[in-house]
Amino acid sequence: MLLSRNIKIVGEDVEAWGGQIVTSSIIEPDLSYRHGQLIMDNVEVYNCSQADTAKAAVRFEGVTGKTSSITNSAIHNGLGWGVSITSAANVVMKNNVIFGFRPFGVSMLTVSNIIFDDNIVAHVYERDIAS
Amino acid sequence: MILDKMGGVAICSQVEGNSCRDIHVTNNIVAGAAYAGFVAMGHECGDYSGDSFKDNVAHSIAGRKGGAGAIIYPDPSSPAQATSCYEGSYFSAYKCLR
Repeated sequence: MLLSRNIKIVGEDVEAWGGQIVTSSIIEPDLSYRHGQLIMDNVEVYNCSQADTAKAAVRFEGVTGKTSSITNSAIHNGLGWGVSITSAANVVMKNNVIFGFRPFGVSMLTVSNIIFDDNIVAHVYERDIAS
Repeated sequence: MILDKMGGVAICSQVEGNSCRDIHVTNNIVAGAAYAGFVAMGHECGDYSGDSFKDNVAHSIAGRKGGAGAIIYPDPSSPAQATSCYEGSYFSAYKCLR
């Protein structure tokens, strides 16, 4: 399972704060609407996501309208969630590897028109909390 | 007791009755995850035409309290599934520890 890609987005894991790629839509103070869109192909995302939060390495939050896509990419080794799609629509994820996250590899919540196809999700492990 | 939510791919499962539609989760592999490989909505029994969750594979799902390849739950938007029958299909799982 190849995790390296030529294009790299690397976060720091200092104090368990990793980087995050967030796609959202917002309304500006002048009421203009800004659509979020992410198109990522053949990219490596490493050391992202914040520990013990829902702040995943790659997040779609409150985004509708234009179709976003993540293809042929590797998202790996974070201390939090891998991918979170929440209150979002029109997201395509194909042929990706999502490796080494906790406690969720991929989470979808209140979504529509999602295509999640031919992906590998591996090494999603438990947190060390009392049970 | 503290129960930590976890899983490989969680599809609209973290909040009960969550509204999701037009989801296509197909041909994926989850390997080496805790609690569940997939937590996914089912379909009406006998209706194999959809691909909301199809042709997925889970492998080596474990954890401190065991693991399941997939946990299938009824689609909240389908009254038929809530009252009569729901089903998950075209799914394989290997080496999941209970």
